[in-house]
Amino acid sequence: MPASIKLQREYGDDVAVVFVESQGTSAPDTDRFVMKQRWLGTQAMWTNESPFNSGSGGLPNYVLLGADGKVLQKGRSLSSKDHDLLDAEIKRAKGAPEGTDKAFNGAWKDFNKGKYGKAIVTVQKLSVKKPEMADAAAEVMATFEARVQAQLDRVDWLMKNGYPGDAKDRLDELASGLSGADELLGKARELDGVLASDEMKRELEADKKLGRALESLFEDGRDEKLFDRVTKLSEEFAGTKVAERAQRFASMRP
Amino acid sequence: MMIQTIRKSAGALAATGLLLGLSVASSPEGVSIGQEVSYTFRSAPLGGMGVTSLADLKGKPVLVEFWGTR
Repeated sequence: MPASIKLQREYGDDVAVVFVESQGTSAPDTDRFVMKQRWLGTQAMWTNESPFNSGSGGLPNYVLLGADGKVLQKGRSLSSKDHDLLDAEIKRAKGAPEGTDKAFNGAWKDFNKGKYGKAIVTVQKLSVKKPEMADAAAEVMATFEARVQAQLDRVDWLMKNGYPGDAKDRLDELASGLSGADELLGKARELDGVLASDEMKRELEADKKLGRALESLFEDGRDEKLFDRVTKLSEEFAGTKVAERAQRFASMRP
Repeated sequence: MMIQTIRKSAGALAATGLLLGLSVASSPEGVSIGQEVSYTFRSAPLGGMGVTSLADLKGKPVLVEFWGTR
C-alpha cells in the first residue's frame, strides 16, 4: 500500500491526497487497478490527469501544496522532515492566513472550527466598529463567503452526481454552522429542499444500498459476487444518478 | 501581419489549454517551491466527492503523488 494512503488515513480530513497515474494508463484501467489493490474506501483521490509537471524524473514522486495552493516541497519520497512540514502546515491552515490583521484572528479561528456564521458576524461588526478596517474586513469576508460557497457547490455536485447521502451529511454539518449568515443559510436551505424532494427519495434509497455494497467491495475488490450485487443495484435503480455511479464500480471488475 | 499571426497562435494555445484542462504553465524542470498551482480536472477524480479543481482543496494542505500502474 502506498505510504500516502496510510498518511491520508492518519491525517484524515486535515490533508487531501491526490494520486496521479503518470504512465499513460486509461481512466478505466486505472480504476480497475486501484480497485484490485483494495486502495479505495479512503479519502484519497485518483486521477490520470496530471495537474502540473512535478519535474521529478522517476515514479513515484510527490509535490506537497500548502493550504494556499503554493508548492511547499517536492521530491521522490516523503521524509520525516516532510511530515514535520505537513504538521506545521496543518497547524497554520487552522489559523488566520499570513499577513492578516490580528483583529481577525478570532473570526478565523471560529471559521476554521466550522462556526461560519459566527465568524462572518464578527467581521461585519468589526467593520462597523472600526471603519478604518473596512477594506481588510471586506477582504476577509469575501474569503469566508467564497469558501462556504465552494462547500455549497460541492454539495450541489454530490447531489447531481449520485452521492445524495454524502450531500445530506455535508449540508447538515455546513448549515449547523451558518446561523447568522442569512444569505448563505438561505442557499443551504434551498439545497436541503432539493434533497427532500420526491425525486431524491429514490436516489437516497439507492445510495444507501450502494454504500453497503461498496463497503464490502472495497474490502475485497476481487469478489465476483460483490460485483454482481453492484451490477444488480445499477439495474434495480436504472435512471438514477446512483445507478450510473454503480455502473462505474461494476466496470472495475478485474 | 505578424501581430495577427501571434494573436492566432495565442488563440490556438488558449483553445488547446481549454481542451486539456486549465493549469498554470510549468517549466520543463517542473513546478518550483513557492509557485502557486491551479488546475481544473476534465473528469472529477475518483473518490474526490465533488472535487473538480485544485482550488476546491484550498484551506488544507494537498499531497499530490505521481505514480504508475505498471
